[in-house]
Amino acid sequence: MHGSYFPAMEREDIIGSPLFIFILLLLCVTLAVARWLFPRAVSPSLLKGFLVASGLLTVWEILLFLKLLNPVLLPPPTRVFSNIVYLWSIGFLQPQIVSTLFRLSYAFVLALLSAVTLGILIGYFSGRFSSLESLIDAARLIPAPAWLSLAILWFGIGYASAIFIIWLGCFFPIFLNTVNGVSKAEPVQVETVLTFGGDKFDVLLEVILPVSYHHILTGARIGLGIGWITVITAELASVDIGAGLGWMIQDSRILLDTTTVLSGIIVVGMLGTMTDLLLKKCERFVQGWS
Amino acid sequence: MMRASVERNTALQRADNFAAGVSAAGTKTIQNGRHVIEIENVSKSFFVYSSNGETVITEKKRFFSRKKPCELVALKDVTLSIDHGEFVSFLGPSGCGKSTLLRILAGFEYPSSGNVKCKGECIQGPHPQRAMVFQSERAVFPWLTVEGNISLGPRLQGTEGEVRKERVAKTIELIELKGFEKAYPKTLSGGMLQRVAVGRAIVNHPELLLMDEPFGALDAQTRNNLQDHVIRIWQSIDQSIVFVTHDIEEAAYLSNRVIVFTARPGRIREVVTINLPHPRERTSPEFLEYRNHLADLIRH
Repeated sequence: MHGSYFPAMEREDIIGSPLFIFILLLLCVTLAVARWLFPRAVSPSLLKGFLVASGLLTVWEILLFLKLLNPVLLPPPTRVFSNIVYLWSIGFLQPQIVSTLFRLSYAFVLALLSAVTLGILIGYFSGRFSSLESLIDAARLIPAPAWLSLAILWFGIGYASAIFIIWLGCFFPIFLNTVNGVSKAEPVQVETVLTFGGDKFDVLLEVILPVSYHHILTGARIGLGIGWITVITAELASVDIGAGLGWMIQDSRILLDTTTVLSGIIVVGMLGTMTDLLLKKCERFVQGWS
Repeated sequence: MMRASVERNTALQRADNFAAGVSAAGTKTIQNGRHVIEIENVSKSFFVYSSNGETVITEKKRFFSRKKPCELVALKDVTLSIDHGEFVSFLGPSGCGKSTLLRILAGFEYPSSGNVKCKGECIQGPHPQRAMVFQSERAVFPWLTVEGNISLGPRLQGTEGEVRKERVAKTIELIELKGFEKAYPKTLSGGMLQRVAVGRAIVNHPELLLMDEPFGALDAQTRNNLQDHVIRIWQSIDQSIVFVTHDIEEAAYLSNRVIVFTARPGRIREVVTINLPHPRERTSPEFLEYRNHLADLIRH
């Protein structure tokens, strides 16, 4: 099944080593010139980060170019990047990305809804639910993949068990941060709403949500990180066979296709950074007062 | 004169208030006999549980606790009435229950015994007709602008568009914060924040304004300014103000009537009516006489 996607082709043909290093150097020079011309458009941290990254990539490429490392164990960056382009061009990468993102976002949205609702309830009525809170605090320390075998028994092999585990991974950081955020609402702020004729629902909208917004967002960012860990773990363990970046990594490992393994890892890294940036953008909504 | 103004008898007290209403408040009319608040024999006690160095204060006795709580009587047999348009101060040493009484008036707490009535009806929980100004700066919501904070009351009341806008604009003018409508609380000074808190309370035209040591955390200069401010606001609105303070001069400077509390358990020690017109002179002999009298009451 896997083999049919990969006709015999030397993937390093797309970009060769010397060309790759030349492109990196050219990009560095371009960025430096851009920084000199438009100091505002290019931040120094971006330039520094780019320089360090391209320096490391160059060293990596040169080590393999000089045959100092075994390319089967560590393929050179040119081959990895060409492979990503190649896998994209034959339409193999997209369905993997879509199915991983679908699983993650499905479970993440579920976790966000359930954890925020439960967190607000427990934070709001903390006196009555304090025993439940400590129970959840203990359950937090069980890594989500530990539930894998049970999840498969409960939900069968398929989307449902994967989503259950990812949900479990995302849930705790969001929940605990929400509870913490709700506790930051001061009695005097609650009483302010009550004294102007608000009811408990108004307290929720006017005080609890604005106060805990930041904390929920922090929890969501941590939760998403753990979500990425669990989604790849679930796919590695073939909970849901046949799609996903984790499955791609695992399947290529069996075929000793380390290039595709590394491609998968890099794509996961890029997607993870992008989703985190997306959540970070949400912080802008409260820039005025914080 | 001082002796004459100190009354325990309610009938005499009312007669005296009438004089105060006419002479002291100038354009402001105090409607004597029209009680906004009636407090009858109010007592309030808390139960203090202490174990392992942890102290918990509760309103009700714990059903399952084996330990015997120590009863803390905050207020004992307080009887008082507040007229429409009056400016009343609660003065007393710290921990005498004056804030507790204010919180009972606001509806956040309930008396252990006795009755509190607002316009003839028993107080059952917080009501927008009795707006509270808190001491804490955090009571002004940091996530809302000045405008947003002031329109909180009308928003919760469901006051719509134009009326709300107009009311908010008028209030901002009254608290002299024009130009700061869009500012967030973190950019304002402590005095400005307290003005926002006062504005937020008066925007709904409540029957009664409850102020819980609103200027306690401010420096002397700002406090004096804000006191004049509060007097101006009080004279321009129709409502009564209940003001809790432990500052003798503040009480004497602001109020028509000062209710002096004893130390715990808090009882009314004396009701001092201050027959001085606003604006008052802090250095005039009459003012100093009142001040010294209040200081004597607090000390002994």
